[in-house]
Amino acid sequence: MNNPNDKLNQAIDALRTMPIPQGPSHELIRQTLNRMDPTQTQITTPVAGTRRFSMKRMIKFAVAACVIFAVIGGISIFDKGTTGIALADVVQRVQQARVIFYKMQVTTTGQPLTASNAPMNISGAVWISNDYGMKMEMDMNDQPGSITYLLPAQKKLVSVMPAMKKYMEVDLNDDLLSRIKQQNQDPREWVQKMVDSQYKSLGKSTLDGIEVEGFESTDPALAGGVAETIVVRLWVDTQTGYPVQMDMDMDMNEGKTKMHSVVNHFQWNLDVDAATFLPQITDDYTVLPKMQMPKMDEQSAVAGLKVYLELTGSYPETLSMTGLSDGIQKASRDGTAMQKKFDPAQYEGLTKEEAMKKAQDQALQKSMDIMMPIQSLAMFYMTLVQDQKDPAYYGKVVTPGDAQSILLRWKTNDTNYRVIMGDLSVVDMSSEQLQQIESQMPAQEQPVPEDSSRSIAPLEDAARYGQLQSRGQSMVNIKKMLLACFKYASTNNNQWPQTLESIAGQDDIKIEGHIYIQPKNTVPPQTNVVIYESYQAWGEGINVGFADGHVEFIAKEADFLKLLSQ
Amino acid sequence: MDWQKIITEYGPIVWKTAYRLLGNEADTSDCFQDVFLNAVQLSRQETVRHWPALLNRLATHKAIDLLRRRIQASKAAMPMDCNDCPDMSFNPVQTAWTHELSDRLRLALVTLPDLEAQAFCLQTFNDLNYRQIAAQLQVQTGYVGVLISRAREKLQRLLSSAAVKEEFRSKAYE
Repeated sequence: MNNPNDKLNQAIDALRTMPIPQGPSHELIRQTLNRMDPTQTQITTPVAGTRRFSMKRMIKFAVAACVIFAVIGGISIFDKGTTGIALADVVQRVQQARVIFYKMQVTTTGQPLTASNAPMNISGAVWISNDYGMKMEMDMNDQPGSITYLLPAQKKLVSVMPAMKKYMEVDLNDDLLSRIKQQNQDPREWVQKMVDSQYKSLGKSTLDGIEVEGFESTDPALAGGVAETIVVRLWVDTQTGYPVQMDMDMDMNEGKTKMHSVVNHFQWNLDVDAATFLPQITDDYTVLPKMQMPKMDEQSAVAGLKVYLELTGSYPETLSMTGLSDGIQKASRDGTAMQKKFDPAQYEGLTKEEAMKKAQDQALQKSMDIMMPIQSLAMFYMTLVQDQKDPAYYGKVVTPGDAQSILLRWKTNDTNYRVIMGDLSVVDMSSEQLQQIESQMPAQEQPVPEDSSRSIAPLEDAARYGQLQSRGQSMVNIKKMLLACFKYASTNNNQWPQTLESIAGQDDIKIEGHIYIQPKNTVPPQTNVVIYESYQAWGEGINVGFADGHVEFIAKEADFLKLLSQ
Repeated sequence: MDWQKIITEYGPIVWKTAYRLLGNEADTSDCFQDVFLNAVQLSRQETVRHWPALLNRLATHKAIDLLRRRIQASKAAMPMDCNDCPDMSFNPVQTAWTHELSDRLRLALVTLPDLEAQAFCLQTFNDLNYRQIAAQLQVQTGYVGVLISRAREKLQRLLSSAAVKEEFRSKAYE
């Protein structure tokens, strides 16, 4: 047994003779064939839906949920804009509903949620009752995720993970309870926010056989400092006056993360009893350590920066939830701090099952220990943006430990600022002192404001914000052109227009500065480039419209040329 | 290209090769899809003369790659999910020992250079001869012997308890 050659041969025999379950299943073959569709020119990673639930997926799910909550919850500050009478009526109508049910599907691509560009799909069903609270079932890539209950009477949030037979409780104070009730997942709030934003009517259309009227808003204020560009569309039943569907497209993390969500299957004033909102926890469930809701204060922000620094060795480049998660995921993939703490010795003497359970518990706890302060940091920054406190963040250039540099600052009153320095000390400063220090920082070190409509940032910031805003507007413009092309084709024997002149003038479309490639087929492959921004020299990238109607910002010219050659 | 026929005919080979190295259905399913997606790409670039050989090589390569990534990404002690392992509870001691050896060999395999790991797997688990392996890996036939010899030598060393632990920790966790 001690002969190493014997051991190798035994190991080989063990693998050679191991029982292998029958496979592949018909379902796997079907999914594989679907993904081998010849129209797909890019090879992507496997459909995660074929995977069973695992701890790692649960953690990923938790990160995704954090981002979604942050994104949806963050949409809370709005400039008063044009108020449409019809939408105002809708608001009044939905506000009267005491019980609401709806379903949601959220597809996210790009970092930080996925290691590759494989989309992550989260679907959910939500019940909201004025009397009992809220229940939200969420699954990821068709695998069971969690059921979350908001129980106002008990001031508690309970998250149940049936696949793991575990649950977690979070105590809420009145302030948090009120904030969650206001911000999270309530379509009544969304409609109100839509009304308060700059929106326009999309006219009448048909959705699943129902005549609807659409409303669209691309008001950057809707993004609340969370997303760089946003398009929200609300479709209201012309007969009943109730919302039928809401679509939302967002670009975050400098375009690296795209989120598309659809909320539909609304039911208003349905009958529910208290039992619907009671967490289903049986005796064989184990409780996870009690969790605190992320705080959104200065101390928590400093704690979040410390955790991030410990994990990655540097400060985050951005304080958006997606950017922070991106950094954490990268650190995890690169095998930094999180993995170095692993010690196999702690599993010695345990059975395989015990060791797995211990590893799972530890992984979940570790995930919470990391994500909680990170979430606090993101939410704190988000509130600074939303509360118009003129925040500025210099994480891209400040070296950890640098007590002379400003890392994050925000306004506390008309003349004073609160400042977190590079060594994470916190000080008060007058506007003059702040200006003096900031003026000594190189121009390129100025931060990118995440919401410059309320910013007094330097010219570089404004210019950068202008670029991002114009990129977003251009995307919307290309999207409009594609829609106009579809409309044109539908009335011209499925033929695409020969030139963009055919659609010029419709729906504020600007065709100047765009190249149009008329698809040769009536139903071209979805990855066919149809419209793109013309350029003389390649800059940061260009917006490109595809035959299936989606628009992407392509950063690398090589990628664009590859797409074009297809 | 009749992909339906190719998958139906050769899918089981890919499945077996991948499962043997990965040890669970979830990863095997991922690997299975990866292999055929890659095969589509390759078939566009060149004429495939021998599908089973190509698919075997792709399955071996993808499985080792996936195994390596799974282990590197894992923070848990158990890189294999034995919930998916077939039930062999009729002999718990033998089962435990077999699992232990299988796991050790998988862990050791991922620390080898790609070519060595692939050559070793193709010979050991897929019964390919040197010439076939050389054709698949696009190396000289004589070099296959060198690769396999090196692989065996390293694996023998790694399979001693202390060594595999050290190697595993240094390669996968640091």
